[in-house]
Amino acid sequence: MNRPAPHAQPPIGPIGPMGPSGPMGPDDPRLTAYALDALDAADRAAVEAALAADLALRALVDETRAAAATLSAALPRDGASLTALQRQAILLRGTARPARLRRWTPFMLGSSAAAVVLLAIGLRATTVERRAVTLSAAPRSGADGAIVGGYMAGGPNASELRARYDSLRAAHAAATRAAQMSSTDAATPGLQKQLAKIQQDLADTTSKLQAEAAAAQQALDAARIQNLLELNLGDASQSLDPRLAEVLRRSRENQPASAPAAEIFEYRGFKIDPSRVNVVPGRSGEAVKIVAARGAFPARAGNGAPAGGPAPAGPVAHDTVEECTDVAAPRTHWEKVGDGWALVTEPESAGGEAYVLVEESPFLRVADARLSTFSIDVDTASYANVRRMLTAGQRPPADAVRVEELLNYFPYEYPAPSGTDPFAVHLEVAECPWEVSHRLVRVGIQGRAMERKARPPMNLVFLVDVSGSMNAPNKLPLVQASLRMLLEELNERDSVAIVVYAGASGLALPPTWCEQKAEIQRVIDDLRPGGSTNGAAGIELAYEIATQRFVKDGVNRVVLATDGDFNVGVTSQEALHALITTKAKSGVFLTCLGFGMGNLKDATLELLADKGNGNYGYIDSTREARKVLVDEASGTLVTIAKDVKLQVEFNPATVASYRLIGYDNRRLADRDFADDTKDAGEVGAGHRVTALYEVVPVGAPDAAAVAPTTEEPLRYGAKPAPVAAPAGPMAPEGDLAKELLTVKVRWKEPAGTVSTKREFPLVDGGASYGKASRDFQFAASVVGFGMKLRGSPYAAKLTWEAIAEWASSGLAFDPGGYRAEFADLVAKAKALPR
Amino acid sequence: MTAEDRTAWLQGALDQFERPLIAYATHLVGDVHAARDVVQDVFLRLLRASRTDVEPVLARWLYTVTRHRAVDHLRRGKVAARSNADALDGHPARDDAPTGPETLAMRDDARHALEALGRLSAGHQEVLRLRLSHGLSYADIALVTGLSVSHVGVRIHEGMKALRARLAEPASHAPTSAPPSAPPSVAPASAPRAASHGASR
Repeated sequence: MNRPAPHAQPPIGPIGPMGPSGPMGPDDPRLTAYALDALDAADRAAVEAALAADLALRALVDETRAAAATLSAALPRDGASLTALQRQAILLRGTARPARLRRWTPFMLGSSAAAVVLLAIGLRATTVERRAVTLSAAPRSGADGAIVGGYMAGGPNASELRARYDSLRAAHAAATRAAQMSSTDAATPGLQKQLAKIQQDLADTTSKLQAEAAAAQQALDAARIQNLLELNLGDASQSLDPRLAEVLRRSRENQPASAPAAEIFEYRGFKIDPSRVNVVPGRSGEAVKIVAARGAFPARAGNGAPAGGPAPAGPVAHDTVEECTDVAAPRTHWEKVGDGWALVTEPESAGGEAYVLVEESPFLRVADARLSTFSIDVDTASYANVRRMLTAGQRPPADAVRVEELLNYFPYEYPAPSGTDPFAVHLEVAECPWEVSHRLVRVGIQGRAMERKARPPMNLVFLVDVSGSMNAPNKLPLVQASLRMLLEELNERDSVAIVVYAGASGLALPPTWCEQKAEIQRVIDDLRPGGSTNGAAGIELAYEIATQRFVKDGVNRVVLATDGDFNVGVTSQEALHALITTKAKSGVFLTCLGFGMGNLKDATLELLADKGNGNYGYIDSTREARKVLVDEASGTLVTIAKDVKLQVEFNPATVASYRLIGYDNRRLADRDFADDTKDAGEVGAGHRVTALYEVVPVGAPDAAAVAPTTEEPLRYGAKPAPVAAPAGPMAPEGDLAKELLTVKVRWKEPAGTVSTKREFPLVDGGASYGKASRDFQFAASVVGFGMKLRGSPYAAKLTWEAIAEWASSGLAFDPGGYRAEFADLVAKAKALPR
Repeated sequence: MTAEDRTAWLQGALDQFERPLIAYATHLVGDVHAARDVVQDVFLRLLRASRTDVEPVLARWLYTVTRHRAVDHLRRGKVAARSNADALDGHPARDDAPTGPETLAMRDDARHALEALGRLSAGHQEVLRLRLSHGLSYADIALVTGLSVSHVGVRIHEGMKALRARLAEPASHAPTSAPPSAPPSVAPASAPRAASHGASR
């Protein structure tokens, strides 16, 4: 304030009572205040006196008024509005408060014991194990990378090694994290030492695992139901093995694979039968992939190099043999494959996505394989992934399209079981729409609905982070899938509300009884990422609602789903902790579910969960979501049958060959069907499973063509001769002869050890496709969609138009609107550039 | 007070102040999404406040809390600070920017006025906005910003002086050089007054 004043008046005149004495200069702030009509009476009088004496001051005041009017007009008084959700959140809070205090206070005390029941179970254990893998995913050492995709036999040491490996990776990650977080010198040397030791241990275990993995490669071959070979041929035109080149040429020219002169040959330890080879265009255009099913062939020659090991210096230098595609950004988990374990990667992001090779099941002759066996355990992740890519205008890589996961994503109208069995089996057969001489058989399994009194009613408030950072395939879409899964488990005694937070915090779904599942599903489906994160308002609102609907002796819980980028917005961290602690005392607990998080952010969530008497889970896949939210959360209450295996026996009198569509990674060895020591999938209450077989009936024009040529000449011919099938029973007679197939199901009671078996024969009534049920038609369109997206050789005749038409016939039954969405996806797929 | 009363009161406060507060907060934090968060939080706080205390001074209370929340927000570094010009001038991509016919109809002098405003320090801009756009009294502005009433008077005076000068310039003047504006710090520090000398009389 030391500006030289041009007049005697002090440069900064107070806005307050002033004497009228002294001249008023143009830099007197009162002049401006006067012009802006902001002076009290006394000052106004003083200014007016000065103005009366000074024409220049009057001009100045007028000028100021004009400028103020101009600026005032140019400045909009109003900004944007709050979003509807934000407004709603505020108003809801305004009205909710008194009501809550009156109504619920008595119940808020003394019910905490009951409140832990549901979601508290099991989350802890999962957390530890899951984070182990996740934390280690980001800092990836060379040694780690080498065994990703590796395989370990299920020997006596395997689980021990595996556990050790996982825990070391966890420790390694934790130590790394601690070292990163601790910038103080005092803590560092100790941590460094610890870290070094862990790294050493990790390296040791890794090398042991690698040795184990190398030794187990042969076991892998044996364990996989269909041995497979993937050749990434790079530029296939260069110095390719002429026999492979011939396979490629035939494929490009769409010659039937079974055309004459297709000889079986051996290539790098694999026997390749050109009639059984699928040629898949490379993802990026430059590579061509040959998927060769060895099927009934003998295992790879014993002296062949392990497929996952160093590539042998073969005659062709520019191709590689892989069992699994390589891994760019590994998020891994151990998965049981046959008798052993494979460290498999999960798809993460576009570009660097890695998919375990999915080999499409070929047609199998009934004469060769009377039985088809698989576990009903299914995911639905592939559908969300495919949807994501199609919505983004990308063609999904073939291996990302897993037909059975597409198929099982949708609800079907299967009647519930009526007897005491935990599930009902519904069979249907009709004309195969993409190959009219073939029959399509649908196997549908519907689990019994849950015993309602078995578990306490639930009052759940989902608090979902919809901020921009959740816009990743392993984040919001996975949250949605998880919530859908959880929703499946709930019934009309349960209540669900959804609060979202981001730029907008608000109530996406007011507390809704779960009899209105379609409405809840719609809201879940409508969640879209966007905006910045402001968790505080959201979490307060979520607690508010949970308290409103408080269920005495029930489960009252806020379920926070976020990627951990959970900042507290405009409220302090301490205030948030205080809030959560207080609410936990009232019986509303907090479950934090982390999705797709990096290393450091889960600390916040874990802390929140701790404060909220809660638990914390990390979900990186739908498999994990099912585990955390369905299997473990509601425990055995939900599972109604375990180790559910399905075996289809085909009648050689009516079926020439068949093909199971999808379930390529779920097949079991036939002998495992009756083996109660072999694990299989579980059926939860209300779960549905659908599988489709494409069946070539005896007498179909291509019955001979689809049956591959093998080295067993006795099996040639369109009609299997009973005498030529020494392994099978005699061909059936009488009524049995009319049957197409029999579906056999084995399961155990949730606590049982001995399986029960049921058989369901199917007679083909000769229905045309048009006469099939709408569910059947819709299922056909879904598998057709999947096959076409995969570029399946079996879908050569399929058109997008036909798929769209079949899909539309299923729209009449569309709870949740999934089928309508599917119809959109078909249109998107059709629009993709070829 | 019944729940109905309270709802009506809240609804009224929202109707009257929601958009002005978001305009103010947008100017402070430079981001309409963050501004919405800030204002939502302000109203959530209003719910916790005693109505008898707040009601007589509602506008002052709301603006003060909005400012405090905005400062907290900026201190957290959630939003990259934007330049004053960007925050104030009709930036096309922003939903708080004047749009449609309003923009088209905006006369040269209005644009010049906004330009001149954009050249002022954040502190000067803020008091001018609170006065000219939001209609707060000098005393309220002083309470909201933490300045003394006389300091508010000086800032407004200086701001208006620069504005007058800009509007007196010939209309052909093209504003090309970036104004030496201060970062939009809204902490109650004494801001440089360089802008008021942008043109001499």
